[in-house]
Amino acid sequence: MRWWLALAFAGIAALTAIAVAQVFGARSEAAIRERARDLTAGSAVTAALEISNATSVEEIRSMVADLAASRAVSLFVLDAKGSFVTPERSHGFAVRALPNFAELRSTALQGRRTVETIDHGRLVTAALPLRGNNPGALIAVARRPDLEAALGIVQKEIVRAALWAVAISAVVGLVVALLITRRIRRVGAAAARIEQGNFDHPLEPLFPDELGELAVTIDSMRRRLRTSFEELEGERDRLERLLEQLQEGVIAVDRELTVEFANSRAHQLVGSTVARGEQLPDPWPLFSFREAASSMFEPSATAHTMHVRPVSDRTYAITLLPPRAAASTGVVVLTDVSERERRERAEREFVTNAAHELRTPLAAIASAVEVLQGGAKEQPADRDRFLEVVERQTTRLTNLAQALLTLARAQTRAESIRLEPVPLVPMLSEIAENLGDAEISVSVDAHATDSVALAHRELLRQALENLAENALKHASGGRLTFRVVEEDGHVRIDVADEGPGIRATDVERVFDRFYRADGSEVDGFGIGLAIVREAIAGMEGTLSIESRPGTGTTVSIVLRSVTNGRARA
Amino acid sequence: MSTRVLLVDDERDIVAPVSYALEQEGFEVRSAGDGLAALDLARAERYDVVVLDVVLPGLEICRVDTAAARAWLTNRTDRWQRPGAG
Repeated sequence: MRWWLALAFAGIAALTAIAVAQVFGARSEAAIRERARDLTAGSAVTAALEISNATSVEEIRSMVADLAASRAVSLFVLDAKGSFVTPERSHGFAVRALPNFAELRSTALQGRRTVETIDHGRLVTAALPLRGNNPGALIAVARRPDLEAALGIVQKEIVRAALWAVAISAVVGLVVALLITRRIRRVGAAAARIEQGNFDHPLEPLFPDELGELAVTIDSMRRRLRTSFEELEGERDRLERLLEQLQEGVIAVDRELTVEFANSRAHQLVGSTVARGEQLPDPWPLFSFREAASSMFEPSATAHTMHVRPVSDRTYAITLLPPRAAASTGVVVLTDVSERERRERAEREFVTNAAHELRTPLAAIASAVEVLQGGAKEQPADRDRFLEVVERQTTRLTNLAQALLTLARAQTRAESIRLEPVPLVPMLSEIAENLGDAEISVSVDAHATDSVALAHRELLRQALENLAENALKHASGGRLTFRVVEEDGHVRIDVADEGPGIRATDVERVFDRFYRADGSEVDGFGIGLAIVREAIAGMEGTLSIESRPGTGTTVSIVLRSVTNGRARA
Repeated sequence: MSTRVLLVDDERDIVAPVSYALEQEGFEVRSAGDGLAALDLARAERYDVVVLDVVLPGLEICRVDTAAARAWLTNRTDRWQRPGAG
């Protein structure tokens, strides 16, 4: 840039110098010629005056020779007839070599004066008439080599001046260019810093000119960009912090499935590292996560959610948000809905079980009432028998309703389940007695005779009754054993039957119904067991089942023990 | 000869009034508390009608039954409430 500018300056200077030289050269040449004519004419007039006063030819000749020598001019004198008085050669110049000699002679003889320049200005000729003593004509010829020399000098000087001008202007141009380019570079460097995202270097204007204005504009642009970037960064920071708080895994990927963002919940849910800048992993054998993610980038893709079970016991809701028209980033939102689905299934099952549990006593009461009205009330023995049915089933309903209410309140957290010390052996004995004709024994290990569990009395009774009734159904009237075992701060209650047991595959299913609680398979073993499970869970206890075909089934409840010093001793 | 009914239910407080009502209507009623006992009775004698709880200890009818049988026999229907009419 600066070299171009220097060259431009030099070029302009050269053109100017040439133009000036042209004008100046022409003018000085004209002036020098004029001067030469004046000198020649002056010499001629001086010679003519002296010749007019001369008295002899000799005098004329010597006078002319002197003048010619002193004035460096060739002088020729002719008489009135036109014949040469002086020699035809004077001061080294032969007059007859003049092309306009005849013209000069006749002009002068006719009494007129003439001054001419011939031979491209190298010769100045003057002719004038002579009067006085020696009438005739005088021709003066001035050869002017000094004129040429003067012209040459002038032209040389002009060339030199032009060269100087070119050189000086080139240097000046360079300096100016350097100054300008330095300022432009300063502004350019500032713009480059902004382009690289560095907004911390202010740009002060040096002079209040156009470049200064540019610097001011760029600096205000820098400040506004910095403000915008700070706002954007703050925005992004807030967004990332918000995303970190989410229960959902959020992953942003580009078209090549390169991860642009992933919160820590996403790492957890995907189960492997989802690192920024790396490819989206494909961690599950049963479901291709990458395939699902890449479907977002199909032209017709719309936001949608799919439920998948990538591993056997977990259900994920995967929401795919395709990129907006101009953007290239798609967002995958992962939600672990296993717990929600489990809860929903458990709730469905619970309602179904509760309804089922209520239906049996209601059916018994309705039947008893119907036969009473149908005539049984007339016979005291039948009447008492069916009234007993009504009473027994009403009590059962009342207990059940109470248990359900307690559970429902606990579940909605309207009322926490208040745990209290419950002596186990008396309660088990009472249940065994109430269950009637079945052969039920209550056995207690040596350390557990006074076992006291931390439990809710009615919920525990309901749970144990349900388990006992269930076991009796399976035991086909066989023996049922309640066993209480103290173990390490906890107390375990086993409800063991000696029935046919449950096949290994079915144990899985029973267990399933306890814990996976699939509502559609509630019938059969599972009646009431959901309530048992809820009750035990509500008392912060655990429930397990163990069964062997031919040996029987044992359901175990483990509750916290209220350690009793006397019992331990 | 009266119609013979086999009544199968594991809830004795349901068996008692239902068998009583059926007997009042003139049926001859035998009852069983679980599936295996019911099978023994059914093998020993012939019955005209079997009223069966679909979910029984020792015999899971629902596993081998058809939908139609379920509709008739399940305790989810209201039919057991009027056994005499059956």
